[in-house]
Amino acid sequence: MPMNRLFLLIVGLLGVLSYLPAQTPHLANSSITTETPDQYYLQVKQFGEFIDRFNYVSDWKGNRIGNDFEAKFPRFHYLGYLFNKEDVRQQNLADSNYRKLCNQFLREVVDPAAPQFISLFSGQVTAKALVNINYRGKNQNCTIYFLPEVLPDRSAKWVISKVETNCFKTVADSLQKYFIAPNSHETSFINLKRIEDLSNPIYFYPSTVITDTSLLFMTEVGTNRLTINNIEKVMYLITFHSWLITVKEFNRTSNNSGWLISNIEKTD
Amino acid sequence: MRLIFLIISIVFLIPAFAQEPTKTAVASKEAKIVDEINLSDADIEVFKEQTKQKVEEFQQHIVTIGSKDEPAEKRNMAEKEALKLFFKGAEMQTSIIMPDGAITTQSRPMEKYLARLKSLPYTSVIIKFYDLVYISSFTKGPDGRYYSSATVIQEFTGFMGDNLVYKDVTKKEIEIVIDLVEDKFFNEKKWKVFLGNIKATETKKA
Repeated sequence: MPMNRLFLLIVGLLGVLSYLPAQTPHLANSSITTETPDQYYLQVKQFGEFIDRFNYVSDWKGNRIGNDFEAKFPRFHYLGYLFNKEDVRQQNLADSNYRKLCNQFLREVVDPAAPQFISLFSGQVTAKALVNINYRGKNQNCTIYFLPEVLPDRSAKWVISKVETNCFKTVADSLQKYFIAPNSHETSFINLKRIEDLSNPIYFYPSTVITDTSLLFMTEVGTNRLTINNIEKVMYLITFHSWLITVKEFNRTSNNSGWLISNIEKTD
Repeated sequence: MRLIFLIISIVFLIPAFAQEPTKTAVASKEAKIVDEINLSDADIEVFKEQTKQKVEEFQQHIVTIGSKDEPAEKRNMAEKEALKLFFKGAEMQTSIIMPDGAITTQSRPMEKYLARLKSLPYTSVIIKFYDLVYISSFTKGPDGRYYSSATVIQEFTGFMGDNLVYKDVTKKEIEIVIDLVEDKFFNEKKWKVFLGNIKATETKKA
């Protein structure tokens, strides 16, 4: 091949290469990944994965459950993997009450006549978070309950449904300090102006409102006296007909780890 | 004439009756709502594939940033590129198992987390990700964006000379936001995957 033709070929090849997209990182990631140990497939890594497994939608690898899987692992058997097996009530052979309760629940869930499922947006799931807060310079904690809400445009969000904390005990003192005097009507409520001097004028609302922890929580956040440090842990409460189950994250290195059923209660 | 009037009236009345107030979902409408707020299987597959690519891109950048063998320029570039994958203000929350078994949690802006990853006190670092990437379903938020989360598992090893001095396995939950952004070049709107806050939980320490 003459030298000038070889030169043209090289230039042409370089031209083609320059038009191809640059190699994206994900194409070159074979060296950065390694085979996943089995325990991480078995681990329930997300709460959504817990729901998918409970509803018998996805297998351990996240794939849709097919006939082969159904034949090997019927739903009753598969659901057994969603329980915290290290619970002493599951291990204590002398006390079979809790195991009986779990079995009764499972039988009801897989009942062919009325199988039970979990829907995140149906109102049966409540998230409960233990939150570390700082209130007036002091570290404390509170429990916040969240509910999923579906909007008319079919979008969804979580909303705070309730806040529980002991950190607003000082409100009782403030109730004796900040109020509209009982004869104020005679002076056309002229002392209403006192609201302006208060850092949190909520004290002028009815006692039932100002002792509402959820409302106080928000107003105190609004005045910057309350700040969120971090979320310590989250659990989910799921209601079925006459059952309440609690799902917690078990962070440990075993096949039985991740989001698992930590408790079952009969509610009727 | 009456018939035309009746049809027009029905057409105008239907949307008025279709308006529903904001409410917490109730069980009776469960199936319908779930069907409507979730995407079609085809859309989910496309979003999942895009999410997987974005997560893998992030993993590649993490490995480059952490690698002491790579030139500083390349690591700085990876840090810059990694930040572009995130929504502004994204945070990294890490949970570490203390020697007494207690867990401490700390949050840092993503910029700080990545900068810190560059200057870890080891002579060499190996970061590997397990090949499993779990992506949850996509749900529409009130802002019209779609939200999901991806789980990846990272194995970190730190050396001082030839000695392995630190090793852990961390599960990372990454918030995924799919936003409709305007492509000015093609003058059209396209769905784009962004990463959000990350919750990193240490699961194993060697």
